[in-house]
Amino acid sequence: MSSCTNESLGHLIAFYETGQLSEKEKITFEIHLLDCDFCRNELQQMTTTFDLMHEHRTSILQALGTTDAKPLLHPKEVKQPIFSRLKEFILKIFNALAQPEFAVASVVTILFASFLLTLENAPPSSPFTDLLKFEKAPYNSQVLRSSEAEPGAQQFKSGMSYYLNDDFGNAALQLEKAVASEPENGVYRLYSGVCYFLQRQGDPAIDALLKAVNLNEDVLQNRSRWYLAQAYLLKADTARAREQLEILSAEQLEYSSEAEELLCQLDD
Amino acid sequence: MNTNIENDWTKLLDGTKSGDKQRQTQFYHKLTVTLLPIAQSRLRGWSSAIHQDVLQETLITVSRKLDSIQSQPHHFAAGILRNKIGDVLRTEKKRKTVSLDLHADTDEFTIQRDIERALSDASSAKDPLQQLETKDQLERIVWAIQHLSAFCHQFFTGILEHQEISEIWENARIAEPDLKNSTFRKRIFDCRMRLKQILQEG
Repeated sequence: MSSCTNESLGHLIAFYETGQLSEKEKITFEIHLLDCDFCRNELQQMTTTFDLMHEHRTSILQALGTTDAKPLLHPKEVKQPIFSRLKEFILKIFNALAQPEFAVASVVTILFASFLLTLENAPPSSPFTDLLKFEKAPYNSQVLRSSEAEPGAQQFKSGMSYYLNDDFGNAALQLEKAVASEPENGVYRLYSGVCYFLQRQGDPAIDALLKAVNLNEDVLQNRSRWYLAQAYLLKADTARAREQLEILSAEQLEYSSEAEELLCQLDD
Repeated sequence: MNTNIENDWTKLLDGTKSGDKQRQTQFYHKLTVTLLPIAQSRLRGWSSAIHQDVLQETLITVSRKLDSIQSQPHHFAAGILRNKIGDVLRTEKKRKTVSLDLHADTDEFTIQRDIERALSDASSAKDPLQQLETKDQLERIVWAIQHLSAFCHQFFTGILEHQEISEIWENARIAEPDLKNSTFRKRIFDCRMRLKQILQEG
């Protein structure tokens, strides 16, 4: 009871109490909780406090002098749905068009609404972002020459030209076309996943890199695994990231030292 | 330490399986104590009656499946609890969806849930003294947050404003570009401990 059995997990207690962990992290913390009397006792002691903070958040915010206290909502309900925003946006355009003297206001509204939509679509940042290495995966153009006859080779070549010029958005578009032509090509999947990762797009990066791990062997498989682990961290999925990093660190091949280092940083 | 915990659970599990009444009582009591914080945290904002119901259903399922549990019954029970909580949340979501429907008033299940909720609300209705107690507690929470460091104040205010942890992390990084994630987590842990300390000191 005197101390926590695993401090790195124990430090997550406030995140757990305030509903800030992903489902995977919640389960990891709960597994720890089952065998850690200290954390369970801590959780019990602060239940009333966090219940009250949850139930009376608006009053507390007002008392704290925060002027923008929002109405009491469940965290999931805080963001206004995109269709509702779109509806408001369209109504504003119609209103402005009906009164030409407000044309300027309408332009401003359009720009503001576009900004809001950009915010909505912006990839969420992960608490592990500072641990990640947003570096390009090495690319050997020999791979390109040897595969020119394969389906999707032209799109791949075009995609890799963008990739080499650090234009990962267009690279991803071309590589997606290459993947569509030959879905079982591990190289296409790998670089497609890397492009998504470099643009901080966790979900498509994970999709592509999971397939790349299965389709590639040796060096390319390790490379896919390294980027997959980082893509998981981009989504704050530490359990799956650890799985991949542990495989890499055990193999003593390319990226094993990087994987070990990242594992240590996660343990910290 | 973990081996001792496992041994304790194994002894209680074996005793319960063999029909030892004392061990049985200890086993279910220990499961309740272990799982209650999870139910309370996962269903924050729900009444304690719902927490008790979910726990009770979990224990019933554990007792039915007792023979199939070989070790670590608390981990097995936690899995069941998570499923039960998932059921509660799904039912609530369905209830909300159905109540928007014009035919919602014919849904017996919804009516039953509403009655249960009303009864639960009635039983937990607060008398004036309790309300005073809540007011006092709220004032103490506000006072405690005001007496925390700027970092901790920002964290708790952010949480109350329903900011995502990634936003709070980014804000902290703007103030301190070299801040490491592990340091950030440790600081938040310390903030929580400080809040608790201030509340205890009153």
